[in-house]
Amino acid sequence: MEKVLRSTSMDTVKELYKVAFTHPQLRLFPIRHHSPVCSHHLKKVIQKFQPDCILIEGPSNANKLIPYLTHEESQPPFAIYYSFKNTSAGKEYKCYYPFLSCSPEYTAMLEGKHLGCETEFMDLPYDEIILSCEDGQSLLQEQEKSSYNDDYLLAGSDYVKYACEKTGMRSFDEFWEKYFELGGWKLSTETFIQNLLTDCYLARVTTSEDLMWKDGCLIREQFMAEHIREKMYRNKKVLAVIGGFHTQGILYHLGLWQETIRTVPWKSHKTPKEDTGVYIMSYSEDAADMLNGYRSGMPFPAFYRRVYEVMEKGYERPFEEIVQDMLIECGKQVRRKDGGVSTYDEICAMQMCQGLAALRGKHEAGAYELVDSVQSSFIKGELNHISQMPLIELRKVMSGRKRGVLTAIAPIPPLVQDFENLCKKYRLHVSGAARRELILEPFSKERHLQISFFFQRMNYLGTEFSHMKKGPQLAAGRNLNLIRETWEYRYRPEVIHRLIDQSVYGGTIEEASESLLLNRLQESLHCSEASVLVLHAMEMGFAESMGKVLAAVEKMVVQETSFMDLAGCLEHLLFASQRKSFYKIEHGDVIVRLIKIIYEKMVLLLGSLESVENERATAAVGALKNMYQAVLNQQYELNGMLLEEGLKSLVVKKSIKPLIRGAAYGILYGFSSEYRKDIIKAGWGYVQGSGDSKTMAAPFFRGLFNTAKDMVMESSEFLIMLNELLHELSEEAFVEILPELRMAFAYFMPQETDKIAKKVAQLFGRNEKDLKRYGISGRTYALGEYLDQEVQQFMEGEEIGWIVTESATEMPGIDGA
Amino acid sequence: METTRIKPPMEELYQEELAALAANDTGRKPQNWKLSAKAVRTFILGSHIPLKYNGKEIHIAKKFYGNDALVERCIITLAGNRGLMLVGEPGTAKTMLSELLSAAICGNSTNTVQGTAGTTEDAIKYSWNYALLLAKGPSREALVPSPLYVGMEQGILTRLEEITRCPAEIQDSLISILSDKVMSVPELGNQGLLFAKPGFNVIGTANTRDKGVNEMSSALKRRFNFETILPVADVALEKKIIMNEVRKLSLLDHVDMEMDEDVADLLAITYHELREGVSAEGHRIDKPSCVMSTAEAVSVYYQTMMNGYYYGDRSMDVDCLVQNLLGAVAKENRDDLQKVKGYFQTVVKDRSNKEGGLWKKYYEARRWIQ
Ligand SMILES: Nc1ncnc2c1ncn2[C@@H]1O[C@H](COP(=O)(O)OP(=O)(O)OP(=O)(O)O)[C@@H](O)[C@H]1O
Ligand SMILES: [Mg+2]
Repeated sequence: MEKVLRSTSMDTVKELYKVAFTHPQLRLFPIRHHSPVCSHHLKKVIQKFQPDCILIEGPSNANKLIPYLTHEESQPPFAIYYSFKNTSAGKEYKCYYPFLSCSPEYTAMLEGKHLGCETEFMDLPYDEIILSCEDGQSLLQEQEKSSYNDDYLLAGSDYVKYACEKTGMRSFDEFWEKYFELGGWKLSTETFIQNLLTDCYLARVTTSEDLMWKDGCLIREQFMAEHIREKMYRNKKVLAVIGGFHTQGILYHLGLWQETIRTVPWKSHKTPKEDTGVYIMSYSEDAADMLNGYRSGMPFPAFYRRVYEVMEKGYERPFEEIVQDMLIECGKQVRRKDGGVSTYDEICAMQMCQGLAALRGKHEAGAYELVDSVQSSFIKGELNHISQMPLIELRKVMSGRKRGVLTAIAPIPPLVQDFENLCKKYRLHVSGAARRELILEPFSKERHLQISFFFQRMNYLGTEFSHMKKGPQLAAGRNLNLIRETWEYRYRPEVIHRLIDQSVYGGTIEEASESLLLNRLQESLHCSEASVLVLHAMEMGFAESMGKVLAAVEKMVVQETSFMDLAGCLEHLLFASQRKSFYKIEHGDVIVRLIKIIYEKMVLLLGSLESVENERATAAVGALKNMYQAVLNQQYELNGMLLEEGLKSLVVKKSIKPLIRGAAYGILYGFSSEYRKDIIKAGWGYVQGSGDSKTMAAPFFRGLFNTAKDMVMESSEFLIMLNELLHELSEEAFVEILPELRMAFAYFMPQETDKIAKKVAQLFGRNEKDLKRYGISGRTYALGEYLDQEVQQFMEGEEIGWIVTESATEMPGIDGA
Repeated sequence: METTRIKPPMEELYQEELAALAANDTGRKPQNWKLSAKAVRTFILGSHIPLKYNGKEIHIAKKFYGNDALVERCIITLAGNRGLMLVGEPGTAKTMLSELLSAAICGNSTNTVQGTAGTTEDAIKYSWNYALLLAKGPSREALVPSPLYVGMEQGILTRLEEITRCPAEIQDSLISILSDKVMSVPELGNQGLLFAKPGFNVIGTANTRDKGVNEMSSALKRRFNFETILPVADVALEKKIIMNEVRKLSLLDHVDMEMDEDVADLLAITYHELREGVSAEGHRIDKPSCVMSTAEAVSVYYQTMMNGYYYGDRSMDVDCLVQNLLGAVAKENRDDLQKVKGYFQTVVKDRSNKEGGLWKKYYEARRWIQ
């Protein structure tokens, strides 16, 4: 690294500046995305140069959208959304290109509008970028929320890592702020750009050409240069805004820079128009905050936006101005949350900011001084999850809540259009953000069925538009007998965002949700993952896809060797079969056939239950019960003897878990009461065994009661057994098994527990009258319910989840991060 | 584990560095500081550029690792109106950092109150020399100043070690001194008000393992800026600290023996993994309840080194290393021994198989674990 630095003379950078900035027809302006100071200088350059044409690095298929972005009714933050469906490879891609009011790209568009000059994006169209990338680098991450303007080549270069280490900066962002924002805005534009070019130059020479190639960066530079050349050729004065990293590359292709860079002829892939999409959507600052997990945003969007605002108003010390404002805002929030922060604390914090800035050689205090000062002056005591509250409040202030606005005439993506049409058609209220309730009877009214499908599809698309409050929950297997559905729906801007986010799957709600379903099908690894899709297809009303899903499930079932996965699959299909009459499904016979195949396979794999993990033992019991239920149901025509034989050899296995043994015995008892003797023997085996085996009696009972509680009701044998067990156990052991025992008795209905109590009384020569009843009073119950609701509401209102899950070291500004 | 070694105070230990920094210091100094804030920073965090002093080149070494921003905040705090409170687990260099700060800022790191349950108000404020008191009556001459008194009188820092161990009322008697910067000595009548000279401030340290700072009154808390020092998170850095600290100790004791980097590495990894409760490969390990601090690691290394130097063949003996490690871990709790045993039987064993060499020897030395 030092060698590279030594061999790079300032002359090279000066030369680079000269070609990029003194050509009579060209200004090649290097930027870092979202940088306010880049915006500041860019504005000056545009106003001085008065270009005929402004070209901006960005996929050119969004050109027609620029007028909507610069429309006077529109206000950042917003983002361009690109989608591309690679039909031949069966893959979908999407990405965002966010703009904040301080983004240089946005500044360039606005200035272009003021000047009335041509303003265009000059990069390859999105689909071409994807197709030109060699592998999954940068934009290529399939389906992941990825972004167009990502600085990772710059920020991740060896040079930048080296520079951060040498200058003692905690991250590239802090490095950037110190040298380019705080240190850059008062510099002459020329010096600022030269400094920036130095950095970009070094970052580039320390990045391998191979990486740039795979990333698609090189081919894009070639294309952008072509675009610029074409305009220049037509005698236009061109101002191009590019990520600083590309400077050399583009100059080379323009024939203005000596260096050898790999080139290839570029050829359009001619993507059919319907496979690509490009829309705009409003965005919020906190969504654009990199620290909220969005890699391509920037840290502290509101902070930099406000700095830019006051900078453009001509404030002397714009950063310090905002630092001070935010300290006060943070203090206010902290006080509201009951944290004691005094005005004196705020003064101390401000002094800390200034002191740190001076110590660190910064012209003004910036974002990092702000965070540091809150940490040292607002937090009283040891830093931990609770005491860090001021830092969390500060982060919210710095991240901001501003939401962008789009002009009403901006084009609406087809998926959103379809959503709005359907809402109209079904007379759903989508003005205002109030929650509304709707009760549906899907199986008596066709219209209701259609609305139910619509809600289910919206759910599946992850829009959080609708939510079923009451009704059959297919995938969970709950309330399968219910016919009515109570839905709650609520319209919020996020619904639109999420819809746009899913646009890549199709232009209508029906199409998008169905292809998302088929997509998930392709991705599922186990048959139980695939079989749950049968249920989703059912409730969304996709009869045709259901056939496809079932066929895929069948293929997977044949290859499946895990008992538990087959069990999951069986459960789903049993649910589906139970509901099929409601939905008038035509695939009933396929489901029945599959159930039979699965059942037989599971019987063969029963032996594997011997080694099932503790965590899955309860699920295994559920699986056994399902198998038995299926046998009892005539329509599946299953051979029960297979299960009976399988269980018989299972119960005698030595290392089988007592819970499973109990359950298996219970099922055997269902097949024939002849097993009674064996069961009693096994029970005594546990109870009279030594040490550990006594404690194992509890799960054994639990398993048994789960599958054969009638057996317990029939005689007192088990109560005697239990009595003996309780006698023998030490207090410690008793406390240990108590939870298990409670669960064992939870399978009984109140009437049944009554009966059991009576039997116990008889056992001790007492009668019913001696029994005391401990019930829960109505009041206690009501109180419990009330508390439950309160807690729920509280949790919804507060960001409790966030605080609890976030670990201290992931917080900005918390040490050790 | 304890070796009695007379450790010179920081200002003596780094006399030359401090002098060189002072000679080259062009920054503005807060009133009564010996160095500017920047020079204090350089003293603690080091510099790549050597300083010229007395015709020599003086290198300023980095002394505190792991969190530069924290050190910067400490310096700025001390230049302001509030005291500095360093909190953290034992062995995270709270004491060391407070000594470095006071040595750099006022050339005196020994003006210290050691907090204990028995600390009295006398020890915080002043007491009397009774012979003089009887002979001359109450006078400044007869007054025996506490370190806090000295700090105020001379405008230097006072260190309050383990302040949370002091009884609550003693802690509270600090409140008025820290907020008004005045101590009153009623016995001295008119002259009985001691106003703190500029430059006076306090650095407290508090250990989160014993009575934490939670029980400190909030009025007192408000007089401080808090800095929480976390254990070093990076294994490579921990190794570096072990190397540096041991080297310093051995220079002081004239133990002339090369350091074994691999052993330092092994120790750093062991301490790191046991502290975090997870191995580099991601396996869970039972965490011992005792403190697995870097300071302990330094000490374990140094013990082993001394042993090799005086009784052995001047090399690091792995058996001895493991014995020292056990001594350090099992100090408080015998269960911890089992946890270390578990660590050897899983993580160390795996590595012994995979990497052999030192790890193999390390694994073989597990027989010392009973
Ligand atoms: N981050 C660090 N940088 C440099 N040295 C460190 C670091 N962490 C630990 N050490 C080493 O550990 C020693 C820590 O000892 P010190 O007595 O200062 O810790 P402490 O936090 O005051 O502990 P205690 O709470 O037990 O008083 C230092 O002298 C140094 O050798
Ligand atoms: Mg200490």
